[in-house]
Amino acid sequence: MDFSLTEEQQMFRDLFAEFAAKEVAPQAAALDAEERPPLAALQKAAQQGFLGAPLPEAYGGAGLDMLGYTLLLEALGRACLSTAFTVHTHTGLAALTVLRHGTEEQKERYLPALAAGERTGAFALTEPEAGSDFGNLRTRARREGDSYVLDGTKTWVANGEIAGLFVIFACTEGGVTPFLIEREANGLTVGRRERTLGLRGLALNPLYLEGCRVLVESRLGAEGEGLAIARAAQDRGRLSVAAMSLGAAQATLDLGITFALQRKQFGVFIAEKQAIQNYLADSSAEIAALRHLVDSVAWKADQGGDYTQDAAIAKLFGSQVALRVANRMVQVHGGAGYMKDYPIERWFRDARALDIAEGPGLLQRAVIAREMLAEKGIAVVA
Amino acid sequence: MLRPLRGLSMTEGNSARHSLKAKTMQDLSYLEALMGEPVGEEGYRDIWGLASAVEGRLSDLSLQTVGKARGLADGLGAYVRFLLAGAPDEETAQTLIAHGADYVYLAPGQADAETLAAFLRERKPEIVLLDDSITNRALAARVAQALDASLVTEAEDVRADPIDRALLVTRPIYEGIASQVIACLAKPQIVTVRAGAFPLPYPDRSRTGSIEQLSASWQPDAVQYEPAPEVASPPALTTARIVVSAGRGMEDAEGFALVQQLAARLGAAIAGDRGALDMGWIGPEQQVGALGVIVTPALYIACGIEGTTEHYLGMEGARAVIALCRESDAPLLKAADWGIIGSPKEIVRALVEAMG
Amino acid sequence: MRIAVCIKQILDPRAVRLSRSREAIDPRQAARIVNPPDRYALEAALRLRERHGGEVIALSVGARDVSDALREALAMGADRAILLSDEMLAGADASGVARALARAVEHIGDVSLVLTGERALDTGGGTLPARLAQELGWPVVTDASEPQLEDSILRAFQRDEKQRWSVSVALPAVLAVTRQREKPRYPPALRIAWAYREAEVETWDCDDLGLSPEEISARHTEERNLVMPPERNLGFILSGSPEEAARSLVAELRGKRLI
Repeated sequence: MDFSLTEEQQMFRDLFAEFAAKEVAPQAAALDAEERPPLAALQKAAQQGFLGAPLPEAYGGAGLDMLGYTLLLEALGRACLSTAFTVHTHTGLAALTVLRHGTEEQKERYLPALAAGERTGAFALTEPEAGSDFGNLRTRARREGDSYVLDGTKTWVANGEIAGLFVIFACTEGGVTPFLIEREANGLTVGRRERTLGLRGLALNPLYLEGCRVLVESRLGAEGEGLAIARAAQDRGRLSVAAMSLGAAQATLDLGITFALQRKQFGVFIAEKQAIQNYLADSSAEIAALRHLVDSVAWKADQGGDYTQDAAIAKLFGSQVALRVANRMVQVHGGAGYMKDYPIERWFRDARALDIAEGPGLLQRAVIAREMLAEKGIAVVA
Repeated sequence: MLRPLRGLSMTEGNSARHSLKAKTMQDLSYLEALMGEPVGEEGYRDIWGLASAVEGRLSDLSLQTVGKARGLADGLGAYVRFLLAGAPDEETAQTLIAHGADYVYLAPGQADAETLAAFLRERKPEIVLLDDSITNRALAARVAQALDASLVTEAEDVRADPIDRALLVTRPIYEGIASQVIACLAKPQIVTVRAGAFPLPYPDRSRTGSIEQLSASWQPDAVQYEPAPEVASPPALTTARIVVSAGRGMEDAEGFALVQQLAARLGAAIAGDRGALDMGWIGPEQQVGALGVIVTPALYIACGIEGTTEHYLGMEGARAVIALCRESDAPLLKAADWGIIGSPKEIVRALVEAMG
Repeated sequence: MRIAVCIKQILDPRAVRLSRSREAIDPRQAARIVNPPDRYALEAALRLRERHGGEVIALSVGARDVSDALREALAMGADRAILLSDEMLAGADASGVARALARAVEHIGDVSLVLTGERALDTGGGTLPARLAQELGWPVVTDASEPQLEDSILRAFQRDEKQRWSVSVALPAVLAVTRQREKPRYPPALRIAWAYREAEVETWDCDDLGLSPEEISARHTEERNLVMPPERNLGFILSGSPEEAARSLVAELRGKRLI
């Protein structure tokens, strides 16, 4: 396996980094303070063709593979996790799901608009009584002639209040099935924004479906294909969170190093103290390992075939690394790390979400164990 | 091409004698001065300069350049010949002579590249010194390209190799992180000299020299220049060469106004620390620090800023730092190249005055 | 209108370090990037093309790996990219490079404007634009910004040491662009994909240009040793009354050419 980037990928990496540093990072503190979604950054990213980057050229994309796409998420994750999650939801969850499972008509209707940022995508799977166990969805889609009528409630729908297109999972007679529903649909209501510990720039809303009638053409895939579609999106999502974790870990380490080189205690820079050096060195080693893990899983995803276990491993390890590094760098900052004035405080709050989003670490362990045991011929019911 | 204005009353005069004193025995150029024969390579001889009088006045840089030419000429045993362009008069020419020129040639207009190249091709100077400026860099580059000459721009130092007479010119590289010594291999050796690289020479009004009027027709440039209105906008904070930054130590609006004056005087961008933001003097987009804007100017002047770590992280990349602080234990003083302790308000006011 | 933009690939000057112990430039951390002022020149060319139509051709000199810089130019919007690559050019100095570029501009044919950055931010002396103009026999405007075209008269602004000028020159001409208000655009993702997957960087050697070794290989200058800047001596306090301290500070700053 050769993980060295091609010249094209290097160009994308440098460009994503420059874009994130100049257009995204300067807004991060304000988005957090004002609990405002990154609409300006989304528009700029759309103008650059980043929102559709992994889509084929025919749909306004640039045909980036998963490795290239993780470079984008890593760069955004290094600048602002709220923005990274917003883009990940829009592109990785909504647009790529339409691309992989939509009809030609659905793709032509939605993908160019998503790539151009004319509609923002959202992905509504989780319910109050069903998180990652999406076999137990209570949202129903009743078939009535050439339409479906949806009833139910979705929670923590990322991009909810800014979305123009929702991928909504509901139970039909044939099983779990996703629907592509536009914001304007009757019977679809976006609830009040959730208030959160971190990721305050990410719009998280409940979604209420009350007699929401949509045409059969809105159905994504055949009835009952929803579980497979959701799992594919989850695999992508987990790899994406790992890439964002990599960016976030690097960002917090950078903050810690800069602080340690300036702060003097008892006459020496704290960077000269071995305890601080241990923090920095451990973090650096873990980040290096995570980088290779993300690259190798993205490479595997690009080869086709199943990478569920790999994605779960990357997600588990990535979120652990990001949280550990953020925690250590708060410690390096000492009292300053607890002040709202210092960005490490926001990073610490945001990094906590990396464990929870796309299935908490505990679930990832269950997935990893299940896959591991399945190789030994032992079936575990998750 | 040349029409003597005044006879060559002192062609070999005190210059040659003067340079004889400075000669070492290895340097044969004094023979040239005695015998009137060129000893330089292929007849390339003497140090030429180009100066331009604006409203009958020579810039300090032009005087520094002629002083340096004199120094080199004394070391090499050569004459200093200056082309005086613009609307030259004899008095300006005498000023050049007093500062070290032996011959001054009055050119009827601004030097254009074609005519200057033709002139130098005929005269074969060993060295040509020009003031470093945007116009002269382009002029020198065209001439060097036409003559296949050596050219080094933005010289901070110019020496002649004592063994082979080649010029060794020092100029900044990588935006000034270090300087490179460059040896000139081809003649003429053309150098543009940076302002302040050399001291102002003392004028010697008793020096005599020759002044000639050139009749050559200097072509007007194909480029038309018209004065354009200044755009008053201060430079962007992140790309400014100089940043003047205020802190609470400036006390009040009057103090901040002084900071604005200082910035205007220097063409600098205005910034501040958290304290200045809290005082309402600056907006958040002007707050320098880890939590605000990170700046990397050549010069950062902190007025009334004690220096928190947060602030320091925003300006640590400055090439040079000045801290004007009330307290002698202000942390920023330790990170500054120069510090002044006292009332920041009074110091800033004095600085504005001292800059004239 | 056909516009040629000369770009140079350099080591990122922000990442170049100085090794005092070895008295040398330490480039290990520095990536190869397109010389930033050249990106402004390319941006200016693209804006002229957007307004007046025509073609933008990016031009560079160097080994094969410089094609990366040219692909970036294509990604930003250049229509064609040409790399002058020849072993004979490897040792050429500013004079030889200017000669080769001028020959290439003539070889392209029908070029009415050459744009380039005001200077290369590595070791450049800022002489290339004027040298190129000399080779082409065209006028040159250096340190120009905001170029506009009106009936084959090019107008721009130039700020010299004293003031700001409005400059006009008849085409053909060479224009050296300084950092200006119009920031270089980010290349769109699709354009990057095209630049790397489909676009071609044309490569010309000295034979293509009819250049003989004598024309380009002459060395006019030679780099010798580096001079280290004095170590920063922090914490120096200027004493005396505010007036005295201010005067000595101003003298220090003038002496160090900081103001």
